[in-house]
Amino acid sequence: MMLFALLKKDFLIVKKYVLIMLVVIALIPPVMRWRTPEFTGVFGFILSVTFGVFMLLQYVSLKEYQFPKAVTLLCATPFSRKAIVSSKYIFCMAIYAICCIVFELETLFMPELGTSDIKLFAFMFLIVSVFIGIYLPIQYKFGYEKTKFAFGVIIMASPFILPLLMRAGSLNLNFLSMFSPYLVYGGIVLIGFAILAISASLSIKIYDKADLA
Amino acid sequence: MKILISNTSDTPLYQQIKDQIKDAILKEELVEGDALPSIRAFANDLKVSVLTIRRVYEELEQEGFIVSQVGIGTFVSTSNLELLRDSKRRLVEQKMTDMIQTAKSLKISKEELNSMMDILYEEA
Amino acid sequence: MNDILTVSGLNKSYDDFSLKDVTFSLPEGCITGFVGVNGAGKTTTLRTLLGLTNKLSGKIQFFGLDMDKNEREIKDRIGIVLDGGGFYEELSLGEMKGIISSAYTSWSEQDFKRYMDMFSLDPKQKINSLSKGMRMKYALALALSHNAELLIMDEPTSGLDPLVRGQLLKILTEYMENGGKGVFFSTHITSDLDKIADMLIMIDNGRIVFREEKDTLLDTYRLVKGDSGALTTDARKLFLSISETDFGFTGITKQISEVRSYIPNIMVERPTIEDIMLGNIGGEK
Repeated sequence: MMLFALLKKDFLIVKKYVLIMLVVIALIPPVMRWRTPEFTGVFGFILSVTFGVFMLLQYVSLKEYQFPKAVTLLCATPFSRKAIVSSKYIFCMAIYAICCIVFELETLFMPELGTSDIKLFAFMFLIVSVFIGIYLPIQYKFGYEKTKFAFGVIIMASPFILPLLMRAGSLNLNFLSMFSPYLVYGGIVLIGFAILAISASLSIKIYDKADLA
Repeated sequence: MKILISNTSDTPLYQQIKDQIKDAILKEELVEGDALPSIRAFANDLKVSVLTIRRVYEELEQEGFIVSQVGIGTFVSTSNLELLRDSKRRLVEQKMTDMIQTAKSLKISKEELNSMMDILYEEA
Repeated sequence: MNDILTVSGLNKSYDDFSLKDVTFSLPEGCITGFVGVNGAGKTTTLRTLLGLTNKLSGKIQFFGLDMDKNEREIKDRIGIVLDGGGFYEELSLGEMKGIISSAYTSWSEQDFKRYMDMFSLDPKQKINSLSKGMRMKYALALALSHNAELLIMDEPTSGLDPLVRGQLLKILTEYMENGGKGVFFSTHITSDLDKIADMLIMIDNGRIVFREEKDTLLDTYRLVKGDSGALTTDARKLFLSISETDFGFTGITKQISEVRSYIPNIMVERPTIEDIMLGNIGGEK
């Protein structure tokens, strides 16, 4: 209940951007397909997730940074710091889920974008988990300003690095076909959750010791 | 009931308030069963702290001038009125003893003292 | 009389400032003012009490419960007003309320609505369009709508005009009459405290200077004015602080009868809380 309220809060403070980002998320795959047909719509999905999750997370962080006392007030109410941190992770996952749903719908209506399958969603989940798993503890430790810079670099580099990663990934991961695909995807998702859980507990530890504004 | 608090007096605030409530009871401005204001309301009206009023009520209750009934209120109790009058009389007796001793040391006779008393009593 | 808050041996240090063995308690049923000049440690103390900054050492108990073990329950029973509010400025009053209200187990929408009407606040209004006074009232509406037993406010009167300050004092009195068990607020504007506080705690340079009933303070301290020529070294020792001009001196003392015996021709007055506060943080002797 409290987590849900905090999740709602994160969406509320960036509500101006939520709609715009939804449009961007939806537009990226078809535009990519049109501009750079050598990549399939899968790459468009990857990019739209990257933008959707990280831009919105960035906006939330920006608002928290602009009104630093607001979270102090929340911490003075029965909201626990643990819940406040956890809600950030859930926020990212919620946006990822929205991206998946949007892409799923798009592929239904525009088959040329490629096929959305569990494999793609599972792999992308792992990638998102790794990213925010690293990003959020760093932001809790060093604050928004310092982390923003590093984050900007990652965003800029992502269109170049991700295809490389994907290629490398598809080469290396061939051996996985020996296992039952559901076992593999299940394993991947499990690893993603494990990363999130470890990262969240680390963030909570860091935030518990922080002196609020 | 009238309560005036002096800011220049050296008497502590709670003492001033307590004395004036006692006086009001003695003069029968407050009679058996009269309700006193709640501590917070009284404190507000007099612009003093609730702690001061609480202390006044506590001391008045100990001395038997008021009774507090939890959840109902605080009421005047005149059962001890005689005691108060007695104590006032004792106060006068005390002062008179002082006065008589001073008169004796100045060799003022009893008759002389009595007539002085008559004149002053009428004037005061 | 029960204490609704006890603090003992609280220590906290920053690079340039520290709280040193802060120890005090709040008796039930009282409005307590936490006074001190800017930078004396009021805000740091309040924040440490609420667990917003971590303490180095010390024990904090609200309602007889240990803060370290019962943080959630305690916070559920406290109303908070932070300096400046602490809101997401771009939200509407109603949206911000939605966030805060879900934190409390006994939120009363009815109470909130009553306060909003009383203060003529519109839930659709944006927070960043509120004036300082309105913002204060909105913060109070948020803090008082979940049956809080204790209201804690950080500098609630700063930047408010006298009219709004007067209204605030009235609301606090009302809150106490309607079953509030205590109000604890920090301030450096002491003229307001004369009217409302029952108890005063003063902090200076991270240490508690005194914790005393307001009326007792007013009874024990005296403001003395007189001729500077009569100030002998021994007489000076009786004062907490003295300020002198060509025309005479003004001093604060706790030993008025001794002062009277040392200096015959003096004027004696009851000091204001501000006089007492300034007297305690020194001044030339």
